[in-house]
Amino acid sequence: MTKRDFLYTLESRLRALPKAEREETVAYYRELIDDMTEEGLSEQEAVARLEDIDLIVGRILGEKGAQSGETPSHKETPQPVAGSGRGCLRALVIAAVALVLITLILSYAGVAVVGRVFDRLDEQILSGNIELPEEEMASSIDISEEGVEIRAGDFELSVSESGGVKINGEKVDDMQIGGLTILSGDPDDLTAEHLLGEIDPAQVRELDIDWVAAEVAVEAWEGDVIRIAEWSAAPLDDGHYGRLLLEGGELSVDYAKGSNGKNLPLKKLTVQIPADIELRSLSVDTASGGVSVIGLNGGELDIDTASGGVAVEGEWADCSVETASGGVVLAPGSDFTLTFESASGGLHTGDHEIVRKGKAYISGSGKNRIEVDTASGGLTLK
Amino acid sequence: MLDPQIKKGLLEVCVLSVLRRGESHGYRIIKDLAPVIQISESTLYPILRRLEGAGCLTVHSVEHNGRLRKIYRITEAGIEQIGSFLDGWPELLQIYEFIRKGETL
Repeated sequence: MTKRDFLYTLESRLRALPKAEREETVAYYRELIDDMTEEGLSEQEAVARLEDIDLIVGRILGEKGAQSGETPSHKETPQPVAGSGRGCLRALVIAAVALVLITLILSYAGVAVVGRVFDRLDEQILSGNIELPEEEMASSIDISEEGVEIRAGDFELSVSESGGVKINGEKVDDMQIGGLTILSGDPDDLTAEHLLGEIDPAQVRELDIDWVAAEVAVEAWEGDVIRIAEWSAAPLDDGHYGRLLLEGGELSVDYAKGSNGKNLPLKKLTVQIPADIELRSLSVDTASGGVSVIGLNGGELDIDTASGGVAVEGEWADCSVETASGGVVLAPGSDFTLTFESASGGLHTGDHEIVRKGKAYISGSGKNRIEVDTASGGLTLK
Repeated sequence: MLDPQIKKGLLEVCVLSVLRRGESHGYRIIKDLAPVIQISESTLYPILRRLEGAGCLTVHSVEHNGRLRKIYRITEAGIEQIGSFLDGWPELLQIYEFIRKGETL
């Protein structure tokens, strides 16, 4: 666990304490970790030296209870947490932001701001940096080409198209949130490369990619290894690397080593595969960001993205694409049977000669199966 | 092994005694006490707060390597606290003797 993760968890678990006390406690542990790292320990080692976070939280909250039990005359008024008027307001603001974000994602596919804004907002409110209006809020939400603005009383949050976040007119910078950051970086500016690995293709029959945010690009290349790299805005440190796992012919690529995806930077993934390699299966699952699989043929292809376009060029025996909001472009050769389902997107078959049979669109011998499911994006065949 | 209840009582005096030797910060207090008595970070914290609340120590922040560090300093009341602990020692010894004799009967 990194220092950030630890302090963030600590702070959120001590929510029941008054703000000043909570901040003081967090500052105490921050100082201890800083002291240990100054002695040469890594952040992870320093955090590991501390007691288990459950024990720490239990002790602090227990101590608190014991104290107020000893001196009933000085009992503090319990701090309102969730369920109180303020808590409801917080839930309301967050709900409003959620609504806006969904709209935002639908309008600007590929902008990875969801986790980022959510976590920031929640942290800011929890840490008391954002003072929510006490009275019932008069809220407004403006959505335009430039982005989104939410107002609730004196509180104002704006998210620009590029993903920049401002709270009460001030740009929310990574470092300003008590060192607690979420996804950061501009999707167009991911130029720092970290090589995850170069794998002998003879060992890989299946490839399974589990990514969170920003583009995933799988493509044929002239090299003779499978080369996997991640790209970020600033060089990554060890705690932010993705992970490779090769087991019994299946290569898994994960966004993060740990399970906590909260404090991770925005990362693009590139996988380069020798052109003559045909994978038995390729699966890409990502929360936001486009997916492209170019110049490769193989068995089963399965792409699932919450928001972001999909482009596939090549012949796969069994291809399934699911996206909530992005458009899909396929260049599947000339022999396929396609089924296409979409709430609002259209189908453009291009130059293909298609015979329609029930729900299926058949081209040539119809041997490769293609299934595309989108909520709002269209499908274009090339 | 020291009884946890007794240890708990001793820790406060131990912390004060470290500060009696000079002002210090959290991590150093733990390290200075390590050879004598084990104290975890999360045990020290409430003790420091309690001692501060009781007026036995004062806290101030100093800058250290670009960050703030809290420095604890013992007060007169803290010094008195050590004194009264030491004063109570003969009584404690009596109790100890009483218990020990019971074992050898």
